[in-house]
Amino acid sequence: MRKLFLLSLVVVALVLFGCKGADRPGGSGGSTPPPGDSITGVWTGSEGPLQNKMTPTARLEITEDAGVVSAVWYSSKLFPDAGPWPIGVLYGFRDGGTLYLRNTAEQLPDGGLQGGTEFKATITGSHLEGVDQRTDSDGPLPIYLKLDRSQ
Amino acid sequence: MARPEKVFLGTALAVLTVVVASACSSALAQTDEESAASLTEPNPIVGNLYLQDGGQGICEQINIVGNNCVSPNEFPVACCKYYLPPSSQQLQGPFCIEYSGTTVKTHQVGKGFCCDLWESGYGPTDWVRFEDDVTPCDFCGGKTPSPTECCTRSRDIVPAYPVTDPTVCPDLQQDPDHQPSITVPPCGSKEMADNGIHIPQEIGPVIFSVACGFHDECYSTCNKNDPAAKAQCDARLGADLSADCAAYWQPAINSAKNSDDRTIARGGLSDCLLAARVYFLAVSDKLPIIGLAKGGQSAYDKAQHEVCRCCKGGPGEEVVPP
Repeated sequence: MRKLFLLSLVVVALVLFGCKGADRPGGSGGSTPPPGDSITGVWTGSEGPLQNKMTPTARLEITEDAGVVSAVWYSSKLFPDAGPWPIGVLYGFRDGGTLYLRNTAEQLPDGGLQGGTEFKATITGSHLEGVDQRTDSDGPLPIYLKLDRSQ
Repeated sequence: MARPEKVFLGTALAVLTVVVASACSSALAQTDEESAASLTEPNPIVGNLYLQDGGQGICEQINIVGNNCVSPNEFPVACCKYYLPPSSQQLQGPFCIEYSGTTVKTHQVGKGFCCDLWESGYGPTDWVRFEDDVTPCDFCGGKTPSPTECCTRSRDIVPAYPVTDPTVCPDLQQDPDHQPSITVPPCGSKEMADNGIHIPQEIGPVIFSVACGFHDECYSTCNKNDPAAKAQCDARLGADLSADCAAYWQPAINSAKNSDDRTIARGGLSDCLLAARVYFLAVSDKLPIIGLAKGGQSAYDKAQHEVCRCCKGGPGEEVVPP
């Protein structure tokens, strides 16, 4: 399962590589962090299923180690007074300025991941735009994130 | 001269062969009715064992249930003794053959182990100690557990509460002084709160504390060594939280006045379900990020340690709380 997931991520990465600029949300040709620059830090901004009605309630705490990225997604929309408890836990890797993560995947005993949703984001400088590709009984339900690095 | 270990192994193999080929198998396969009947009858000799070096022993099928040596029931043990004094090459002392499913294990046992007399006319309660064939066995291989003690399957006496090793307990059960309970707060624990980790009791408008309370009660219900019990508790938590999310958000989705409101409500449900999944993964120790709400297993083990007792306690009598 882990190999399949990694393989699929690599395939997706390769397919998207050639059209990265066009595919990038809000792609403005800004600088993407080179592989050597860590994106570890706190990113805050807005979130929601409607791009024109996003709420400024999102907080993403990203940790990057040798290309492996983990992040915890907090939403004060759900927990205005609750303190640090996540509504999402993301795990995956970064390829240049693009993040390929899975949200709330289950960690298997062999270290692989299972389930969860696909989360893809593009980082341009200190700006991150991403989409968590969820589905429900009505069909696809993308949740958009637009964040800026705050720490 | 063969080493004692080899003799023992050879003996075990011989025992296994003889037992499988002898009438032992039919005796072991007795029905419940036969088991019940044997409670009032002398225990049947289930097979003569011819040991590797020519020594001869006798097996009698006995059983240890709770604190009592009784006739075969659910934990059959064959207790074997030599006709003749064993030589240095032979297995010293009595040994037992334990039947567990399709496997047969031999165990040498020491002094104080419970064997019955050979002579006819003795009922199943006439167990005596091996070393002199006279001293009554009482309930636990010659030892009698007090009301606060239990006799383990290996005939050791251990405290009934707290349980040190649940796998040896003859009748793991809920301690009457520690009934299933709900922690404060229900989601998370007092220890987490004391350490500054505040687990939300609600996800936005959806109350999670009720489902967390059920989960607490599940953890604090003695599982009687059921290996699937924790996973069942965790799965129920996930299902209950998801149901709570749907109970709040689905009507909002259904009654949305326009497409945008419906999409926003769908997003609320989706966030709630993902948060519920985080709770489930956290208690299941399956979150991929180390350090984030790990400890479901330790919380479960702690709760089980607090609520289980090894047996009812004492020689078949009710334990009177102090």
